[in-house]
Amino acid sequence: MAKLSEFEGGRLLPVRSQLVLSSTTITVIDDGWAIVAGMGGGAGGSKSFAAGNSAAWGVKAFPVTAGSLIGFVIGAGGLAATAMNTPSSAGGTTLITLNGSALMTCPGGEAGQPSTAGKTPVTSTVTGADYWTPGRQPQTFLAGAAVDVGNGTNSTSGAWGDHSVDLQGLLAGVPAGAYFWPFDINFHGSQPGSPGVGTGPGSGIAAGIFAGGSGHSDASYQTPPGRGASAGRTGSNNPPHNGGAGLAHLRLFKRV
Amino acid sequence: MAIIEIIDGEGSVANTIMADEAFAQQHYPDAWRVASIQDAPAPLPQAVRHMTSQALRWRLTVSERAAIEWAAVDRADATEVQRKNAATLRSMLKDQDQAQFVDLDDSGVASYLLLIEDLQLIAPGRASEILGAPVQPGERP
Repeated sequence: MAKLSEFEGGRLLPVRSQLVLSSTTITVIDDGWAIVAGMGGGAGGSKSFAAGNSAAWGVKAFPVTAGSLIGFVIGAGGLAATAMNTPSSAGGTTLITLNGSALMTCPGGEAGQPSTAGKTPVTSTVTGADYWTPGRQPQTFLAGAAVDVGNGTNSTSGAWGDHSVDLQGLLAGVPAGAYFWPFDINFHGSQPGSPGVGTGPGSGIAAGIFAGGSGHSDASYQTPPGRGASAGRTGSNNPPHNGGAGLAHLRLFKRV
Repeated sequence: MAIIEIIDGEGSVANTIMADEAFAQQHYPDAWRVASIQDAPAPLPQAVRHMTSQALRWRLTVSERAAIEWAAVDRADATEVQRKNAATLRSMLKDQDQAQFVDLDDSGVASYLLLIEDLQLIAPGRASEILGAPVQPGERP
């Protein structure tokens, strides 16, 4: 596949590549091109009801000039529902702007259902993207949903957070070792807490980026989800977690 | 950085974002508030509490081990409940024999110790004492 730096006669020099984890505005220094990736926040956790969905993400390439302002408003994860019998809340929306005008809008994961075994349809769409991928429902009714970084998501246990990485050769999710180009993330392994890999209740290990939070109806202490993923449910005596916050990635190419 | 709620003209929360307060005030003047719920801190990593099967066995006294072995014997003249309890004990002992290691945080291990406590093969409180004691270097697999 051709790289953007090879376009325009190979006269585009990559000068900046960074994750954007909190809202900010970045000033472009040189004429050239930008590629942005954005993802909303995952749904928050509930104390008694099933988990909500993970967030959608999208990618956009566009020309920039020196002095352009690229704005990033990073959606937070859905707030945890700390009272019993309260459904989880939806994740926040990530908005990317160019000189104040909306460029791409990435919604958060839909809130969970007011039931122990309900799943919310995935309806949110990314607007303004060159291409995008919708969020995902949780695989079970306990743990949180992972972000679909390619080929879906999977679960190895009802209580473990869902995985973006295919841990069992189920052909669901990406293989360990895969590279997620839009956010410049390597799924380097299959250990709990690695990028795209969820963790189990009581493990004390936070889910890897994009992986769902753990969940159970018992007294286990649940693990928080990774960015863009949803939190799992908890029993009556443990507070649930917020959903994973959204994020963005920026690449800048200088015309030389 | 905090979770900020963006408030619309109706007073409802239009979005929740990750931002500092200066960013919120610059981009959403007087139309934001810090969310009442911030992210819960990530749980501290817990030490893995694995030990050998033999180490778990040696946490029991000789008399406790003997009582368990005695209770696990199948007797034709015992009641059905007693024979079922004996069978459960044999099954659990076999599981431990065949395990490469024992995880003290595994619910099956707790079930085994609570069962032998319920059957009065160990004194009340011994199950939690055995489960709660820190794993010593010599007990690790």
